[in-house]
Amino acid sequence: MKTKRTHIGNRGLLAWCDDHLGIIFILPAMAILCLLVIYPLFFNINMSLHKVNMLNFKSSGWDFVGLRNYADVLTDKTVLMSLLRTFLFMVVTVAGQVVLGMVGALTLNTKIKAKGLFTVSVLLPMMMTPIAVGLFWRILFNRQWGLINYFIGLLGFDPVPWLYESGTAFAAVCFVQIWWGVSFVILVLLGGLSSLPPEQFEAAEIDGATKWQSFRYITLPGMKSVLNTVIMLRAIDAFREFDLIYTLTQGGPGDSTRVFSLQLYLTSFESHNFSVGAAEAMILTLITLVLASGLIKSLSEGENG
Amino acid sequence: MVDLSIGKGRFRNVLAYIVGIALVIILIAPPLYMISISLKTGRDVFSMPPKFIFTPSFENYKEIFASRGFLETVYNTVIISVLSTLLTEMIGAMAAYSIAKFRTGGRPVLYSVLIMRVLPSVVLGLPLFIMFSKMRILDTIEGLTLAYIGFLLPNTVWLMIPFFQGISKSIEEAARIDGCTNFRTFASVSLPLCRSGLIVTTVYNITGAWNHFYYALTLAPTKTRVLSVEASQYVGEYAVQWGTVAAISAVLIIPPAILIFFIQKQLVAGLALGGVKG
Repeated sequence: MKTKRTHIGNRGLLAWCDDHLGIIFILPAMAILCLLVIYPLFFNINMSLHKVNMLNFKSSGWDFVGLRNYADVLTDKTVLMSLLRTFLFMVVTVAGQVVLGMVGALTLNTKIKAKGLFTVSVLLPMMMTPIAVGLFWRILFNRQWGLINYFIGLLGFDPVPWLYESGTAFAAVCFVQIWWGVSFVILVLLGGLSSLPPEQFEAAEIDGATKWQSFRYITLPGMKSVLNTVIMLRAIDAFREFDLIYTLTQGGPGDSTRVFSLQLYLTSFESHNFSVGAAEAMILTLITLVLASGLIKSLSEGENG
Repeated sequence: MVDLSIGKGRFRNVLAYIVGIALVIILIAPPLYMISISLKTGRDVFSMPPKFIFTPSFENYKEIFASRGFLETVYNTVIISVLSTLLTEMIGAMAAYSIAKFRTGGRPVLYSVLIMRVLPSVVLGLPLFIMFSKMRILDTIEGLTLAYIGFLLPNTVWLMIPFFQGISKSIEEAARIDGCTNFRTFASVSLPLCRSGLIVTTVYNITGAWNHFYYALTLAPTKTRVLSVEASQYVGEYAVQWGTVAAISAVLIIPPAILIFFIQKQLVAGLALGGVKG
């Protein structure tokens, strides 16, 4: 008798839980994300409005300074230069990845043999740790013994000091980012290409369209939302890139490759200027949100189109 | 099918082959060269032109594995990657199911997941550092696992939603008519049907945790060292010892590469499903 009653009681609770499964299932994720994403974000905003450093960060009585940290950040020439540099880095690497990614995807979308081998090799760099990628490109870009300068020497040119001179270091960092990111772009564009309806291409061929014309007037418009999405994703990634540049140059020589995320790291963890670091983090968040709203727009267009 | 072919008959697709092979060389040669360096010793490392025929030696690998604390570093990396992946999969699958089938929260929840997914670790590293030092979990396995779940979870939910949406309504309704509770339908019908989604996200998460750097660098720099941080320190310490630098890069790269090799088909499909379409 007794066991039966508890059984019914449990059933009632279980049935209630089952009816509200949607809510119950999302609670753990919400709790985790509130603790690890949303609360830290508000903590960061709070910190950026106070004066916080290595000495007082564990106490709670921080001096309120209003927007002074933001003013400090936005008038600091080093910080502004690093922002500008990050924009340049983003534009160059996204353009490079999209153009090369399109060429790669068009190639893999033809009837070539051993497509599996091609796909695996395209997949590999994407899954490599940026840390390892940075380490071996450092070896390849070495001034005296690097393989790249060896080939340049074979072509009869003088060795290039790659990572040891500001202009070439920035170019090298962009190159490695493109090398690493192009795989992702190829794979996503390949998915988009294979879902284009073949009838249109057949019709265009019958009408005597050139390959360029069918690319320009069928492939590109058909790929618009996929392209938009991939551009936004890579732009967001470029703007926050840290690992690769940290291992390749650590922002040097001078501060020629010090992108904004690196600047933020140095302010927070080398200078221990926590409140200014927090203000810089909020600026990075704001830029990410602007880029993400572009992403949301292109995603919802993709849904409707 | 986009036609890149030039010419006729057996010379069709010549251009596609040339571009394809060039692409493969550019993408594959650098990591292969790195692995070859990790197997060389002494002067062979710096020989130009690079020696393609040499006696491979595991000297460099022996050296890094014998270095102090290295095994502990490997242990930390494995434990943290596995723990954070398992927990993320559990919590993530439930949340994704809730969003996909019950439309919990509607579009606002969906988009906040997306925003959290693109929020950089660089932004959250500093507040987490201060929070963790107050909670006394800085530089511990628990702390780093927790931080990793925070960055793996939004991506997992995001990738899994379309897999659950793809399960046809009639199958789930049939289960319900047969008397299954909502939970039973999830556990015995929907979850098994979503297997490829689980595989894809598990691989993503385990490689993501294995590869992650910023939280490891800022939240666990000394006592609880992981491989990515250890490798990044080799730049300064072993600037000229290319063999060791290459060997530790290989140790970082090879386990995820093996994993990905085995499930590449699902991964490409998963990317097409979850990577782009919302």
